[in-house]
Amino acid sequence: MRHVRALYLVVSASFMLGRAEPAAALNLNALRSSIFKIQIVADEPSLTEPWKRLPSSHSSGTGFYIGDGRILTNAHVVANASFVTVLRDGDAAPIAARVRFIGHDCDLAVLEAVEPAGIKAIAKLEAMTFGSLPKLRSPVSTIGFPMGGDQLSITEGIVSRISYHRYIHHGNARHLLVQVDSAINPGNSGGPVVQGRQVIGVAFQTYTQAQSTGYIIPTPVVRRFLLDIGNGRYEGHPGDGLTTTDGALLNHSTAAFYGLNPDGGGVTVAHVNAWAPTSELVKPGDILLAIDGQPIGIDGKVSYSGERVDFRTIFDLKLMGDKAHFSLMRDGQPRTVDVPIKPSLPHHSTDLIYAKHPRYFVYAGLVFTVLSRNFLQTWGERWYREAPLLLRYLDNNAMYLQDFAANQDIIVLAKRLPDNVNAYIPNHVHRVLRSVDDQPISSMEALVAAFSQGTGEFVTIQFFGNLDQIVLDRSKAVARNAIINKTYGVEPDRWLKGATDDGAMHGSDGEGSH
Amino acid sequence: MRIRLAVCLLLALLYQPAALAASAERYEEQVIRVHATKREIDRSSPWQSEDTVQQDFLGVVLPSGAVLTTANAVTNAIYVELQRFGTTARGEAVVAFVDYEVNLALLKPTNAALLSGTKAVTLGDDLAMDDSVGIYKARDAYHLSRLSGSLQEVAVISAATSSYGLISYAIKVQQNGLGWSEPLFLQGKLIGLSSGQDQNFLQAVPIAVIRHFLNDHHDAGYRGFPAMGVQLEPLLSPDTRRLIGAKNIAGGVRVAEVQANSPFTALLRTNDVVVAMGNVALSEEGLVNHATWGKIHLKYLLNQHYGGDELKLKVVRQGTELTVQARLQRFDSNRVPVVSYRYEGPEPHLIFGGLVFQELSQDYLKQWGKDWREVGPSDLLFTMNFANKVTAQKSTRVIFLTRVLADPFNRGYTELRNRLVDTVNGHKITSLAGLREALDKPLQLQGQAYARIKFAPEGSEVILGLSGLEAAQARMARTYEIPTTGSFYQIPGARP
Repeated sequence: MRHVRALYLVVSASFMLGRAEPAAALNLNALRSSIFKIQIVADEPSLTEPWKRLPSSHSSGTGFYIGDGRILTNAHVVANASFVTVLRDGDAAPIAARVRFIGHDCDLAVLEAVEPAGIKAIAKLEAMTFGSLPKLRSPVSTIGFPMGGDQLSITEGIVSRISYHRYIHHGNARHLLVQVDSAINPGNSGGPVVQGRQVIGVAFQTYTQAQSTGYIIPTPVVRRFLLDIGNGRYEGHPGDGLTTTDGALLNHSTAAFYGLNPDGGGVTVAHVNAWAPTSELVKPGDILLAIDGQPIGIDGKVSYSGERVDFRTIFDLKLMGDKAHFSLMRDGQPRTVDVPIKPSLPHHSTDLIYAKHPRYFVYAGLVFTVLSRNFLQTWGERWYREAPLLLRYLDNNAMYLQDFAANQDIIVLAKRLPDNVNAYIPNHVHRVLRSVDDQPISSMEALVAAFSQGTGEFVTIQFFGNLDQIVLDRSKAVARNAIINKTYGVEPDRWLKGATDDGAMHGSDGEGSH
Repeated sequence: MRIRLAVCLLLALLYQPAALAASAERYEEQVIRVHATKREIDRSSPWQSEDTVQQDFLGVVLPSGAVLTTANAVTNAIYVELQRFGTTARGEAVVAFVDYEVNLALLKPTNAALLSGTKAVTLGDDLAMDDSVGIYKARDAYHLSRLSGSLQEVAVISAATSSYGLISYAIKVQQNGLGWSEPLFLQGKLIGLSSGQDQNFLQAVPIAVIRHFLNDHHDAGYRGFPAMGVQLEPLLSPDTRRLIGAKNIAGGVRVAEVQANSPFTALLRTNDVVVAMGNVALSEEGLVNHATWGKIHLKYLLNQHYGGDELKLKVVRQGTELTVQARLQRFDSNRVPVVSYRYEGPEPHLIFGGLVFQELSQDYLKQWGKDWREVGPSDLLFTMNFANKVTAQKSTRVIFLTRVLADPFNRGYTELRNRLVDTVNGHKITSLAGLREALDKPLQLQGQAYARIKFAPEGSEVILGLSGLEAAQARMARTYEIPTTGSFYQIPGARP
């Protein structure tokens, strides 16, 4: 049934192509020499036994040439890739490629040939050029290989919305996004969306609950990505770390309390995360009135290229080293602050992880790993209601809770590998670690140190919201570690690298991933 | 033809056990139909009620002339009727006594003649495992149907109407639709009342609990079922036993926490090992031996006590044996900040400028349906599960904003709902009374009075000027049809 449906979509697209203006057909012929089908073999890490890899999977997507031997595609097309090939439309031989840069937050990646001359040697290869943010109601064409087909397909649609919205590849990350009323199907991902011969976006996700609703990454986000990698590494979008109450100043008495004119604009700051670059300069209770001179409306939106979008759009598009200029009201007094854009401090994030392995440590058969959206998704599609309440609550709210706000990691006991040394411990699987030997643990590194540096006869492990601690005989635990790890094939016994160690970076020099 | 039918009936009677035929007839004189009209508070609009519903339960006649049924039958009841089998006459009854903690209630007809001709039940003894019992449900206005079941388990679980840990029978049955206070009989004697059904298992209040309840009620001053106010954990790990000095003792459970209101507060410490309760030894799993049922949770021992009883514990503290003794307190499910149940009286609430504030309760969360523990608002569920410790102050409650009655006065905040209140005008809020007091102390700024309400955990705020509050609330009372007295906050000078 699925196969039949795919055919229907391809046929429909061909029909539309046949009806297109001659100029459009000419454009496709000119453009197709820059379009690549990307095929990958991916292997993801296991979340419950994080030293393992899951069985390989095969998938495909689309990419397009942007010059200098580079192909632009979606990060999700090549995430966790162990083998990548690219095949220009109309050519016969795929070329082995590697991921040169990948930005999981903005769902973009740059590929290069494994052999230095590989892609550049392709005949009549022309770099596609980028246009600007499209206008609402303007027509666009999406080019790619939907449903894994070998024939290039073009679908036409209309720009229906420009907003600051969720990029699902990264979990909760939000960026500028354009909605089009044409279908974007699996395999379209990474393909160019054009107006005339200019790329105005990259096709990347769809809304499955509605017909013919596709989303594209607009050029401001693409340009930011390309600028970001200009120094040879990708640093990523900045985190604003702000929780605001949009709409509160609609209330005239609230506006009067803050000394503001009724219906004047602005949003109130409820919380500032300690890990964010804003934390030193913006405070809870501040009223944000403008960013970079753009007035922030009562709804939290600013004018951007003629559209009203969330004020965070302006902050989000900045590069490391830039500044965000805020006008705000504090304690009844207007002031301005220049927030330096810099990487966030390490912290628990609701983003999905695309590291080679999740951070973990195995001690005495106890598998500790970090709470992540990926880990929650092991509860299935309805993880948001079926995962343990504590885990799903902390994932979203740890930043507000005194016990966890400063944590680099929220550590979960993912599994017990049964052994005599841990046979009688309470069943605390899926509980959240609080402390070891009553010393609070805020990171996986601190956990490793607590286990390795402790000297008492016993190791005691305390969990959040539970009064029944785990007690282990330290000398027995140490003695059994190697045996347990060998029995269960735990190798290595720890992974302490962060999200910068990406499985997709095979064959590269290790630089440039986010 | 008539003769053939009569012969068949005669044969059928002959094939029935004589004792059963006789006892079924007798039970219809001992069992009473209980018709309850219920009206639950609308938890989202606490100034009004849900639609009334009628539910039918059963009860049994006691020698005192009262009718014993489960508290399930009278939760949120506004009118109760009794009806004898074999008559069409119904009569009003009053709830003479109810203990929601153990799910039992006593009813009395307003006209004692209603029960004339009935017989009082005889109380039986504890069931043994696999005992076959008769479960009696109403077939029609004249007859009871006998269903059979067998005892599969006796376990300590939360009572159907409270959070009290109470022994309960699990009776294996083949039929559905039970759990409406059907009486359970064995050899002509009452041995339990059904309290609910989970697939093929009928839960029932055991006769031991019924006896305890009736004895207690018979005495002057009901003392109720007690608790220790101490969290005890199994002590299986040899390493834990060594750590806390329990290596050389048999059995015992670890004191994990002594609650703020416990009578043992000054007597027990974390990591003490309780090895015996009274004279009964506790296993390392926290179980005790029952002569008939085998291993059962130690809370069973507490079920046998009354509030006010002295309880002696044998304790080992870091290898040293000691005995402690304290007077037990009656258990109260609502002695926690998140209210467990509220079956009677109005739902406490306060409306300020259209912001509806209530005490967080399990009843509120149960509005999300049978999966409420999964799909309810996670802030509220987290609070119930992880921030619901007994505090020294009995009146401590979790106060939250249920919703906002949209009005120009609260423009900008109309979409707020299910938000935990942290502070009001800088004062920590732990009760509705405290909320009212905090609102009485508004912030003054440039000659204007303001209320500043801060929510947890994220710290967002509502700031409303008090100017125009009374007019706005009068408007809301009309728009939303809310009684003008009792629900709305009134500034001190305007209070009657």
